[in-house]
Amino acid sequence: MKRPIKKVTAARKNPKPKHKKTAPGRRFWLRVGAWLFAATCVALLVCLAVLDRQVRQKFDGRKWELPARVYAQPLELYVGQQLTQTDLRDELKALDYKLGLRVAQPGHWREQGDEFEFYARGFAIADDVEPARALRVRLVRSQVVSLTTASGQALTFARLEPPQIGGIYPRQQEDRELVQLSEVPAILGETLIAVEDRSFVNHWGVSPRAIARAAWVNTQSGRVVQGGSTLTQQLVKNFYLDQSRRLSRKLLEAAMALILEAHYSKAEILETYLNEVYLGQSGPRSIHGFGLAARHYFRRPLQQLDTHEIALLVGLVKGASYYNPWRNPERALQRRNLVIDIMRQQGLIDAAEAARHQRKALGVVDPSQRQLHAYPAFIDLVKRQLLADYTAETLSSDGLSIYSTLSLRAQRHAETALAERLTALEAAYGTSDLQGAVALAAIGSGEVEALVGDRNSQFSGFNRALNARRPIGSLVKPAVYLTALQQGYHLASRVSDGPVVVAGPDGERWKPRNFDRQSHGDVLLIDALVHSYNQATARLGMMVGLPAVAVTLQRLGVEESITPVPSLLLGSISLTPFEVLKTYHTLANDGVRTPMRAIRQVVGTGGQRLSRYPLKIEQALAADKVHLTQFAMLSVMREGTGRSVYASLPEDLLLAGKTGTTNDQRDSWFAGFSGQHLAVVWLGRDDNGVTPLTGSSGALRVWRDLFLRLPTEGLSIPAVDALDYLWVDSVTGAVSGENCRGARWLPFTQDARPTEVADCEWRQNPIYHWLRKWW
Amino acid sequence: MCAALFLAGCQVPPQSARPIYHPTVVEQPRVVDRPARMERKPVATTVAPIKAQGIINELQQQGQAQLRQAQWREAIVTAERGLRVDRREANFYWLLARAYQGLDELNSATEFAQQGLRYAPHRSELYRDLQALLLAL
Repeated sequence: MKRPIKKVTAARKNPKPKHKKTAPGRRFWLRVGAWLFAATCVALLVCLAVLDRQVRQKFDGRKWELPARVYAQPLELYVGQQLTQTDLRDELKALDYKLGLRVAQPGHWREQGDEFEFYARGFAIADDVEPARALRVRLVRSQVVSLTTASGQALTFARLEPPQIGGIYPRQQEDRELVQLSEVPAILGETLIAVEDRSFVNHWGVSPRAIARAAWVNTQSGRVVQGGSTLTQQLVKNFYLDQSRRLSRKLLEAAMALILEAHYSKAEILETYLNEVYLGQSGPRSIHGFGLAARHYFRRPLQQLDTHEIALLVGLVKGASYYNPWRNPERALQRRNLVIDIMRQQGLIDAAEAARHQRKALGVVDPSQRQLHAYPAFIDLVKRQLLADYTAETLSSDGLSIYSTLSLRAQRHAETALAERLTALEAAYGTSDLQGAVALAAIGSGEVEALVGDRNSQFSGFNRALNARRPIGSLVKPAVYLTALQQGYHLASRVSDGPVVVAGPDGERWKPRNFDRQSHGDVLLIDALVHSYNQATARLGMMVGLPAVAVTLQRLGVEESITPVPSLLLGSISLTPFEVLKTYHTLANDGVRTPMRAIRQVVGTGGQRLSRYPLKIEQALAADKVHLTQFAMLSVMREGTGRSVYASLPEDLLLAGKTGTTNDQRDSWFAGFSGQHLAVVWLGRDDNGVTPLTGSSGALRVWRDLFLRLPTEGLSIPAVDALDYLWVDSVTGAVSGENCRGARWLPFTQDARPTEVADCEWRQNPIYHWLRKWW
Repeated sequence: MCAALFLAGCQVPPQSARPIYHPTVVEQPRVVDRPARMERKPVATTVAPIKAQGIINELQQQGQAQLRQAQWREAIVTAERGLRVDRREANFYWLLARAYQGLDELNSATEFAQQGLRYAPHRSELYRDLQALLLAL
């Protein structure tokens, strides 16, 4: 009996078995709960840690990708410089100088007769500093004749600041100009806080009161009309997150705002906000931050904005597109005036001031003045040259300043010449869809001053100046004649322009014909070039040898591989206008090869010079032979295929050049130079169709229009011992005399000159002639 | 004597005067009586009545001062600025040659010295300086 009692007792004493039945479940769930809670806490902590790291990493590191800014060359002023009044006026306008009666502060100008007075803003490029100062410039007959300070002190040299002509942007096309809080007008920060987040200085990143107020207002109106986000939350949304409105995203935004406030001061957060906020659009480029917005809308630095202008910018924070002052001026005006009201309510300005500012117009610049995307062809060239030294990522994110060689006035003249002449040609010939390209460089420095890749210069599509590779036709001929001159020919050498047939390697017969379908018998070498005779050129080229012509072309600067086939002699080689520019530059530059440069220097964000692109030269061809070729090309302009330019250009302006026309007139070319400038023009069709244009009737006219507008100096062939001028008979090429009929005066080198003497038929009695020389 | 006079009328030796361009066939009595070889110094046939001599002189002086202080890169910038004003001014090539010599970039120095020689007036002090510089390179 004891056993059962014992059992019962034991059971009573120790109710474990019963407890054992229920306890495992409860304790298990308690444990699970505890573990889950702990795991959640850990997960939250990990998430917070990750979030914290992310927030700090981006905020402490490089916050934004900063695009590279590209500037044109600064306008240099000195006595003797060639500059028209229109060009100076346009340059001042492009730099947003204000025309007025007084010149009291930087950025103002006035004009009186032939005198310009302006207050240059001054600038610094690395260690090169140009002071701000008031200047007076007198221009007479397209030339600077005096340069003084406003007080009358003579100056030898002054510069205007280089205008920005574009940029190289990151993939998402964000653009901004960073400002530090210390540079920002106090009223901007105060207004922003008053309008967007009045409790900014007090909250911890999130404002429950603002959220509750927004929730109440939105519930009352049945739609979202008010936001409860603080400035910090707005910054988090723009800087770290996307634009979605999911609850999870809002929670994340709040958490990140709290973290941001825990780590950083209000000043740091406000400064970042001022640089981050989206304030507009310029084509594909988005305008971020107040620094760039000030330039975008008013073309002035932020520090120079007036109160009503600051009010407009602050108003745009709510919706830059909706309140766009160009598209929706009335809406923008209402918004600006509302902001001014808030400024008055918050005591930032008094009532009288508010009323005065509300009466003012919006004051935004004319949108047509925005020039940042006006030079796509040239910017394309800048990018290409920079990519040799910088990665694409560096160019679009490191905030580099790139000082280019573009001349605003030369570019403007080139664009106008091409667009207007093409329109006129289409009307004259009853055709359409002509296209063209222009490349212009300063001779000697090799600086590319203008590049137009489309008749609509603003169009940033196919860049014909760099990419349209076309047969160059007769533009190749100077290289053929230069080769002959190097091999002992001279300008008075006789060459047959009779029919010529060349057998190709595959048995094919090449039979070039002259443009006028006539043969001209034996002609002087200079005349064959001047009149662009194909038969004489083909014969001469075959005599000097195709490989030799190819070598000359390579020395001139052709980098493409050249196939030495007979048709090369008449320009079957295909080059782009820019490659022709490079090749002809060696001819214009006395045989000295110089790389074509679009960039002078690159400066980093700290103002340190990162790289310079200095002048490099190489004497590629004998200067005296090149001078002979230049002389022949002067004759092309005087009496050959280029002579029509002198119907408009002054007789005493010496110019050299060569026309080019390809088969079926598919391409119209002209390359020509003065003493200072070289320009290449191509006209044709994108589908390579036929045109009604020859080199003379098409491209030459564009070139002439350009040089009519562009102040330049005539070409002079330098007097060197290597050159002698002799009278020669214009038919036989033999030595003649000044008083002999049909004599002409040509230059010769010491090693190649005519030796035979021509019969002389006097033009006047030799004694009389001789006496006239003395008296 | 007559024969000599006739010959003198036909074969006028080139002598003086600035270079004047006459590529066309001569059929009428010329305005210029004495066509001749070019002057030794390059003469710019220009429509500009005023030579930018002021800035050229100042830039030369500035470049020389920079050379004296061994500011080679600054001297290069100055010389290039000068060549933008007058691309055939031999003094700026001399400046470039000296600056590149200072930087120990002798190939560039040689190229610029040779280019200076092409444009420097013969028998001038600058010509001799450039020759001496070329010898030293």
